[in-house]
Amino acid sequence: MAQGTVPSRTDDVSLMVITLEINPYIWDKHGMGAAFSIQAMVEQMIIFVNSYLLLHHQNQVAIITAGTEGCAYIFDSAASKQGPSNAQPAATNGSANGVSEEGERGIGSILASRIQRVVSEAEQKWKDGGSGGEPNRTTYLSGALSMALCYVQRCLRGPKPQPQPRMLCIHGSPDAPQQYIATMNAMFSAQKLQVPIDVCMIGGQDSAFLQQAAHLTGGLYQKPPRPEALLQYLLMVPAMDLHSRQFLLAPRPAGVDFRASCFCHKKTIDLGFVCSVCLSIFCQFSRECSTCGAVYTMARPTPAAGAKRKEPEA
Amino acid sequence: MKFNLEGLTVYFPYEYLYPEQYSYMLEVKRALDAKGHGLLEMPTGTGKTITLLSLITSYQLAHPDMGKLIYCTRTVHEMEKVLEELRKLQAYQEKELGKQAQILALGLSSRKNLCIHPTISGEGSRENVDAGCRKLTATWVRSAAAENPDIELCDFFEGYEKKGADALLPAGVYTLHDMKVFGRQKGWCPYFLARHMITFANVVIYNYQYMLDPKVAGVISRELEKECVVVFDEAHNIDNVCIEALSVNLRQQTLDGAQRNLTKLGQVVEKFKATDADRLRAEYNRLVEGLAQRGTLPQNDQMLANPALPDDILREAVPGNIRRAEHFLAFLKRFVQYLKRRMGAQQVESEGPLSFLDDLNNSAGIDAKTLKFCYDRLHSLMLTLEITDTEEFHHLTLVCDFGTLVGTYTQGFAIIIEPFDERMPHISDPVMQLSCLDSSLAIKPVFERFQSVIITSGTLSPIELYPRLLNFNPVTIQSFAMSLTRDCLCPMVLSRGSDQLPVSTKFDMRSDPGVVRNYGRLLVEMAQAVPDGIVCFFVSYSYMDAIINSWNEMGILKEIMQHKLVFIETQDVVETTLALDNYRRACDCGRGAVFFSVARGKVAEGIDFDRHYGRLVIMYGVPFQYTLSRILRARLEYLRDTFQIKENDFLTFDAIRQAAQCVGRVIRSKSDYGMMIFADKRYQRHDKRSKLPNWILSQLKDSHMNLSTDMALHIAREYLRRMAQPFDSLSVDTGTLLNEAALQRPQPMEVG
Amino acid sequence: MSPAGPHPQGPPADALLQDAEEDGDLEAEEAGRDARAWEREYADERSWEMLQEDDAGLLRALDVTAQQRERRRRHLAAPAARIRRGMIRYLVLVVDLSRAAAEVDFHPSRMAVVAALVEVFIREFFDQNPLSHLGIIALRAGVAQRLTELSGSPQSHITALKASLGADGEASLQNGLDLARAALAPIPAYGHREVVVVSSALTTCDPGDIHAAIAACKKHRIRCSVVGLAAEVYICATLARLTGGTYTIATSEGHLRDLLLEHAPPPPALQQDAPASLIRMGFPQRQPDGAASICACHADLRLDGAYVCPRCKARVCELPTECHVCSITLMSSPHLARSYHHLFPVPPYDEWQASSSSAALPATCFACQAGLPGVAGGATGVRLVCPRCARHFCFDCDAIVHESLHNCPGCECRPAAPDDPPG
Repeated sequence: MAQGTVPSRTDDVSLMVITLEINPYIWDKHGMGAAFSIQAMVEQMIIFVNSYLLLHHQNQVAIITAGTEGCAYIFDSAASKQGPSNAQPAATNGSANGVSEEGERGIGSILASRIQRVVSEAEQKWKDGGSGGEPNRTTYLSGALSMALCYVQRCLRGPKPQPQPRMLCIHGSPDAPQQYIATMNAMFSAQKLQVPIDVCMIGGQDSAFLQQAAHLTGGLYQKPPRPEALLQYLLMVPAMDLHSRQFLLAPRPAGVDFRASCFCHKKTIDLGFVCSVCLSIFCQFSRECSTCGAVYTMARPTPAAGAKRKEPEA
Repeated sequence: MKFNLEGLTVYFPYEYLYPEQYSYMLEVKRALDAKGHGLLEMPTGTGKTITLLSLITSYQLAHPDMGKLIYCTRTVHEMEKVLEELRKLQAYQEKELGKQAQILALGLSSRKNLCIHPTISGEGSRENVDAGCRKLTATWVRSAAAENPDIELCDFFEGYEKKGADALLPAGVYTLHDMKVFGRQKGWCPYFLARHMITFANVVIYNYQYMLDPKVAGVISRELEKECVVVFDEAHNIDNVCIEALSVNLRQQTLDGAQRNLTKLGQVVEKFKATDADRLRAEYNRLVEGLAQRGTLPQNDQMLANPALPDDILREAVPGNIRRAEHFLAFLKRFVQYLKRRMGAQQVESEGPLSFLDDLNNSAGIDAKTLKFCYDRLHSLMLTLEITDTEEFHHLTLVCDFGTLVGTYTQGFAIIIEPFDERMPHISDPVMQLSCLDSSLAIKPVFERFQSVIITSGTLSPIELYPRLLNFNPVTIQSFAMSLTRDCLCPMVLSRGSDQLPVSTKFDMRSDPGVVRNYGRLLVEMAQAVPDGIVCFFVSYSYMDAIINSWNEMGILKEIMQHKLVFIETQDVVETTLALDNYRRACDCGRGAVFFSVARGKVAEGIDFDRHYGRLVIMYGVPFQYTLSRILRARLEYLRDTFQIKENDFLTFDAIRQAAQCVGRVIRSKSDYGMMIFADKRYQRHDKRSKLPNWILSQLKDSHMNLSTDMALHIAREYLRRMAQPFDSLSVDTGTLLNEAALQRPQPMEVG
Repeated sequence: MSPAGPHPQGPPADALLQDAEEDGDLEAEEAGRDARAWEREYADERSWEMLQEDDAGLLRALDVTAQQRERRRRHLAAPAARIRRGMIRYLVLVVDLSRAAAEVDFHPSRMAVVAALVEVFIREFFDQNPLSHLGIIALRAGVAQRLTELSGSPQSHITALKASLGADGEASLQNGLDLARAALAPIPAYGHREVVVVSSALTTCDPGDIHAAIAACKKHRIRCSVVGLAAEVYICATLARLTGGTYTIATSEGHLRDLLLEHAPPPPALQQDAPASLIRMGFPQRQPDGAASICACHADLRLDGAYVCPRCKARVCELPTECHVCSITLMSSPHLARSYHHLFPVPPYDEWQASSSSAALPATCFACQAGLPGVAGGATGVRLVCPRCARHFCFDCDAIVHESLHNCPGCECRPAAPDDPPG
């Protein structure tokens, strides 16, 4: 799976869909804490978005928040241009509420208030939920990526000149194994559409999912050592348009972890067994597949000692 | 399913019904209600047979006083198919109604198809089996055997005879095979059992001849009651069948043979005179009393019956001058002599029966009244003389046949004497034809005797012509179209070759090399574009031979064979069967094949080229009858004078019905599809085209007419691709299929 | 116009008369003739009447609801339930290069079109079935010729096919099947054997009994499918029916592409076709670029990033492959993940039926923010509801979700329900 080749289309107009993690669990307590508050992040984001939009008057941007309570569009630059019809407030998914006021108030305050509201809602829920049972700590990364892809394709169906799409994923929480398939599906879809996924990890750890996403789609993966300088990183790396990337030296990715994690113990393994029916990965041999229930008729796999060397498969 | 049809509960063995089947049932029911006759055209592939069977048996269930269903088919194969359908229907009705729905249904065929005697059934031809059977079952043979145990008899017949009237078939549906199995099991003769069981059966299926040919009908169908319903299926050629039933051809060999037969009979008579004069005297007395022989003789002795119709033979005594055997033989000798003399004519002679009789009376002193009885008289004589080998006296029988017909009918017949074949004027091959010109004669007693007669076929167009040809008044005439979910047939009229020159088999054009080449190119192109089987029909054997020869010289045949194997129908049945068999095999294994056949031939009439056996049928030319034929001319004249049918109308009608019959071979069910190319510019003309059956005409788009080869090829490619797409065969929603629920709803439709 | 009097160039009068007699009503018919083939397509549909200009200046269909429903029927027909599929496939592609392949009813020729689309198919096939293998057989001049052995590398197949184009002679389906069967004989039991025939010819010239060859395929559980270019051939239909494959006929180049790509996703499979088994596999890690090492596949010194077999530590250049030293299958987890969507399909969305409670309808598509029909001033078309998460989507997103994304954005934004796919 080589790097997704990104053809250099007319490089002037671009569309950026940003997925922004607002999981209070990461931002507030165990993540950056006081060093880099969510307010600071929002301020830096506003500057980034504004400067991106200034690069070209037709540049478009959409921001999707990903949190523990779901994902939502909080900003859509296209909606404001197209007039009020598409900017109808939508109750269920908290769509771009009143973006039309952008002209008077500027992006900054809208973005700030929106993010603030979503974050506080999430925090409130998180605090409430603390009393009743285990709260949901996972961010719906796959959902946000899926929505972003749908949005990209909508723009690609739209009027010409079609912008060059790319996605930027600002993320902090660790990988959620239950989202593995969905996340992978989303990144294959992005690969097919030739939409690069740039990743900016602001948490303490690398994300194997997003590493693979960047690798497969030809995006850039970076993990700033100092999250509080997010704006600089953003302006240096993901702000580059695709055409310019050909000429610039982007941060070289470290080795990507392509190892699979087994379905049975969620261990990362480099040698394992794969079910021929459903392709589930297991770290040890069993008689029956726990995913699809297939019963293995032939005890073909033998311990490593068993020399299965001359068994050409084709 | 079962549903209510204007107050009649109809049991139908399938879950779905086509709308045209529904309308068809409605029409049949109306005909039955009115106790009248019906003439119905419904395309093949719409389940005509099961519709008819289902309605009539349901009608029988509802009206127990109704008589049998007599279902007439053209071939044994069709008979078996009908019986199979009936078996399905029967199983369903019994499931629905239990025991009370039980019926007895059987097929009746000749001895050849039913005999289970170990040696006789192995005899090849039908006549041999018949004669062989008579040798073992004739009354005098059996009585002789009673005294002399060395005389061989048929065990199966004896077994059947021993049981007498107790030999009965249990209720059920019996195909010919079932009959034979049953016969073997019981040790009874299936043929005689079947004949016996006709009286008890609810459904009888047999050949047209059993109903139309007076020689056979007098024996088989005599005892059927008036309330019977008679169905003629595939009846598009019924007028020809009727005519054939009453026509006799005499050749030189026939007369020579008849003379030999007479000599032999004379010897036998002399012998009997010497040994057993009483017998002859007894016969004489019987004839004096004027007892009509038929009906007083045991069943197994009825080998001959009068060729004229029962009503026409007056129940009067045989004239005195032929009552004595030797007088009768002398009379016949004179008759044969006269015929021989007439046969020696140097030019073609054509006359009506009246002038023939007049001449006969003047020159040979034979009058019509005597002549009328000569068939019956011969029959009686042969019985008296205990002659079993009727085959040997075939020639004489034919002459008497001729005599009786001439003596009986003064109208509707023509006698034509041709000293040589038109096509080979140098070879003397005299033939005397007594040709029936009026197809209504043979079928008239059927219409009169039976309450309802249903005549049906896939191609009866133009349907108005049939009542005129057959001279009857149907209470219902209807032509149904096919309801289609897709265009499963694609007729095209090709009028030009790829060089834009017209193509036709018109007499002045048929040998034009340009036309021949265009016809050939058409087939080459089509062979490339059409998968599996292609069938080509030509107007005649001679034309087919000529065109294949030319194609061979032009290298066209070779090109065709690059794509498909080529098989040709010949006049030899065995060869043709073999060719057909291999043609099918080539289609089955993907090699693809072309079959060259002739309109009006055996293949055009009886062989189906459904599914991949015929994706395309090309009709080269318009299959007009040989218009120079005297018989045809006489018939045309008669039709014009008697029924006011214009010559041209009849010829076109006949040609187009043959063409429709040929192309109709290609599609046998709605899930099938096929293309039809009418390759002659004359099909472009309205008077020809409009005579095609409605179900073809409705599919013939304006854009598919007046095509040239390249346009036809384009249409064919497009059509084949479209037809290869998957389609939904169950389309209750679109109204092309009706299920029980749909039939419960009020029915507004009247498909016409 | 032309002056009165006889036309010097015109046909003689008697010929004209005869023509008139012969083709009496021809003229009347000519007037009522259908339009030309290229006009018919438009004339029948009157497609321009369905258009209107939207505010972006684009022509949009007036009411697309019916059209959209029609298009939705296709993926609704696909089984939504989790069915067992043959994930590890060994497919032999039989390409007919007989004389019929040189015909030009597809432009520039059938052969060229087939070659181009087979390339697309091969790439898509390996994209969707990374664990599978493919080989190519050409039918030409009455014989079957093995172009490539079964292997997992798309490029080698494409190169081999392109190198050997050229139509000649007859096609022999039987030879093709026999050769394919021989190629498929040694594969492991868990693999699904398949043959896809791309057939131009309408006839097959076989040296022996093709029915026996079909029976042998059936016996060896080889699923044979045929994609035809011209018309339905009985023997192909029989082959597909008996071996459980499909038989489709292309009407156009685009249709041919669709039909070929229908064979890219793994077909439904029965348990008895290929017994399940556990396959031992290695998941090597990618080494950073710059470290020089000798690879086992090319026996060459390479500097760029590479993979190392976890069992024997041999170096390979690309995945998926088989270790050249210890024969273990080497995979990366994304390869496997590419196939998972076949196993856990997104349930089809339901079309939203207008009800009284339209007041609370979301105005925009949950996934892409496009306006939805059913509200005042909304777009035309259908509105779709996910049966699991009850969110509303537009028609386009429905197609994206089910055809390429394979995730329901709504379901991915809420806690997993018990019936959701694992993983």
